[in-house]
Amino acid sequence: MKRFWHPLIACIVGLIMVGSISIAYSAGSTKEKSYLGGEVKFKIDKSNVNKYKDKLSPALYVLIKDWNYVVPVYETVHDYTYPKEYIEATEKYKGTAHINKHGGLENYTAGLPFPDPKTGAEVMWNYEYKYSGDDFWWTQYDIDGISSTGKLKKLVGYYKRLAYQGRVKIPPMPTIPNSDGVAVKEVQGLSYPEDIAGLALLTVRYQAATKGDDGWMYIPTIRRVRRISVAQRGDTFGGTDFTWDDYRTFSGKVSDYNWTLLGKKEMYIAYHPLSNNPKYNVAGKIPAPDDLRYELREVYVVDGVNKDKDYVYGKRRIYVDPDSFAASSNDLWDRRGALWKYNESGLTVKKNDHVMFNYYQNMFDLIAKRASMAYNAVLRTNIGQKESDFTTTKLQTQSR
Amino acid sequence: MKKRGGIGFRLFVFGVLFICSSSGFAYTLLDGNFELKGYVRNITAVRTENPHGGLGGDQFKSGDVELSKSFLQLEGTYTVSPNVKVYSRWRGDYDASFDIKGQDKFPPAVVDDQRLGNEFRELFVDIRQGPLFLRLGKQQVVWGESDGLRLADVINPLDFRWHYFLEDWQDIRQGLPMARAIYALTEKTDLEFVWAPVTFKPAKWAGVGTYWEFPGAGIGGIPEKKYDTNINNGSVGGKIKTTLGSGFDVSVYDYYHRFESPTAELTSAGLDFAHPFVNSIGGTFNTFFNPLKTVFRGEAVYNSNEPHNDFSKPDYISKKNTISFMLGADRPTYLPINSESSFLSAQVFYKKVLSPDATTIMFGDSAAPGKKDAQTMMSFAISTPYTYLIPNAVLTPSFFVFYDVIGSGWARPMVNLKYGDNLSVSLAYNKFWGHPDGRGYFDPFSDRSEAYVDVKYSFQ
Repeated sequence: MKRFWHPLIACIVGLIMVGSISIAYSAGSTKEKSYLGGEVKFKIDKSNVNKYKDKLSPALYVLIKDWNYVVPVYETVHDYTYPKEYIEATEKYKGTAHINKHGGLENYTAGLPFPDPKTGAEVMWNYEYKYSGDDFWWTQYDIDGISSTGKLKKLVGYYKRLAYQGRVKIPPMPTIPNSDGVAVKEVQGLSYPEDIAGLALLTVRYQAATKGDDGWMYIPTIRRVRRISVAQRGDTFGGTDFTWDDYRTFSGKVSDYNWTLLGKKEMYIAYHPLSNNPKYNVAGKIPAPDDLRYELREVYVVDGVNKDKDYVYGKRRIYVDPDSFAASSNDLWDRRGALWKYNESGLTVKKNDHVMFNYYQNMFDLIAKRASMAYNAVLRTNIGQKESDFTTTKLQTQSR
Repeated sequence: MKKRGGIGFRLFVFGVLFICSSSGFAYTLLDGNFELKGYVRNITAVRTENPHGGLGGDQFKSGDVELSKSFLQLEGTYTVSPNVKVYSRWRGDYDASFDIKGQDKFPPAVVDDQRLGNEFRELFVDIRQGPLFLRLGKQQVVWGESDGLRLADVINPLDFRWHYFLEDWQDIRQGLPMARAIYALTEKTDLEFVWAPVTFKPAKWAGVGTYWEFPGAGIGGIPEKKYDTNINNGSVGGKIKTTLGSGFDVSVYDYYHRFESPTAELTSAGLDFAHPFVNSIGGTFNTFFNPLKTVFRGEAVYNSNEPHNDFSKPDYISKKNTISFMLGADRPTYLPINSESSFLSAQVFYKKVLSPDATTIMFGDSAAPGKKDAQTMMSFAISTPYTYLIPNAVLTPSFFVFYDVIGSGWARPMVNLKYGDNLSVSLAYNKFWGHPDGRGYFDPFSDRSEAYVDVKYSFQ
């Protein structure tokens, strides 16, 4: 009889503990609201989408037409400003940067490389060196994967970045001295779900167009840092619809692409979203936003084709905001030429830090009818991250 | 004999109830500073061919369940401050195959040892102060660059009892109480020091009559030799790691330790198993070669005084120096079978006993004629994830093969399905084959082929 009671008592105590812990359950209190509200001027939906077709990206048009996606349009607000140090650097180094035959940027020091861009490559180098802070840290973001059956798959991660060039706020400026020609170092990590929690990737990107990125990944199951090839940046990120190159709207190496500037055009793009936690109606299996915010803005339209013929996308069309050179969205075609995905970031202005920030980022797979939504992102800028935060030793020791 | 249904079993039951009664993610306490995660898992394996005779595990016939092990693992991390973190990992397990076959088919000591288990597999504190990182407590330390075979990864001995070497190393490494210090000299160079001051644990081997009984032991199994908690049984080592130029990583290390595998020793009290001290000096490298989009990696180790059995010696032990190396290459590659890249990996292993004599023999070799002082193995692996075939799931077929050039090998085709955030199901087949003369690293397992299903539900 004693044998019966002991497990029973343990179970009762256990269930009480479960109750306590479940109450302590936390998905993270990282929700933020925009400083900007405003009234909806009108909505673009299935009924009137053709009226606005020429001011919608091809993929956003398909979303509205076929997915019952609704675009609420608000007043256009131009309130992004560069920090004065960046403006001064742009003025000081104006005309010094140029693009070499490999598509790489040479003689860049700081500021906006091409204040008056004339080519697609110049727009994209402006995108790459737009003001983002000398370092930044997305302390957390969530990604929900929504399949055609409406089920959710969740990832939770973080992202850190340290600029080696173009520094205007935190010494050493304008570059961190190094003999390897490093442009930027970044760490992407995952903390959920359990089977990949602790996984972290350190990437080193070099200034030289011909030098590939270096990558090291801490893999929890083998308990060590493994050298990895980050050449295949077209692979999906953690099983979501994002590829590694789709991170932050676009995080590929600019010199890996041939870029064509299609021009400047007024488009409806996601801007000044109401929060970093947009609500979605997933009841109809496919997600549709309830509280997004779009504005009619003039954007650079640039087509990019990866130089690797095996690259996952046949073409990428990217929409770049001239105020900040942040990218609001991409249309993505597959290698057969079929329109495949729509990658959209809700750009918000962090006024105190003078940076544009992806409050949320959504990827819609138009062929497979599924989507991945990154949200709850929280940004910290210019926090003084050190080179020692971007080493394999740090990767190894921050996990088990 | 241990009580059946002891505290471990109760914790196991509690844990299963814990998982089943909770939902959501991020179990936290203490203002989010304590995080709990873990999994429940079952692996059930069936023998796929009849025993050839004369080896361990003979009572299992083709079609018999030889393993049905269930686990509950709980992993807690308590962040005391930005620079201090406490980590613990507890695992309870129950192997139902003993009850399926009948406990009376095994010696009671083996049932006691292998049917139920629970332990804190790791329990340590991390302290970070400037360039210095300290990890103190029971832990695993992993060095090296090899997959599947271990050269530098010898700091923690393995537990071969329940599925031999067929599991992820982290699930069969035995944690040791250790002090590990890493000092970052620069962003590219760091020094590491590892000291297991008073404890040595030999590798654990499956008991008599179990499926994974060491093939050919036939001498009452290999008992786990107990070593005193004594500074004379400690291990110590150091490593320096640096990056040369932009992206060529190298390390050199030295580790002085007792040899985890047993060597038969004749003592005044009779036959025993010994684990003499060995000094391992080695180095590793890795680099990414952009023109080929390929990572190259390698490691080499020189073991001095590695024990080998020589029954012509008075104590049956002959100490030899050995040299081993591995060269490997990894390349994610787009293949026509998938829009995602497939991961391809190949390795070559070589081990040679220096100054061999007539009695020198490598693991797995028989007394058949032939050179026995060197061993060459190759491995190849491919895996390719399909993220679009099944809604909300990733399906990953994979295949690897290890081949001893003498003529024995091990191949594993596997299909893994990850569904949603929590569920993982794998179906796999471990196929071993040997050499007609009974030679080669995998020959002892040539009748141990098995098919298995591995189901894991994780939570966080």
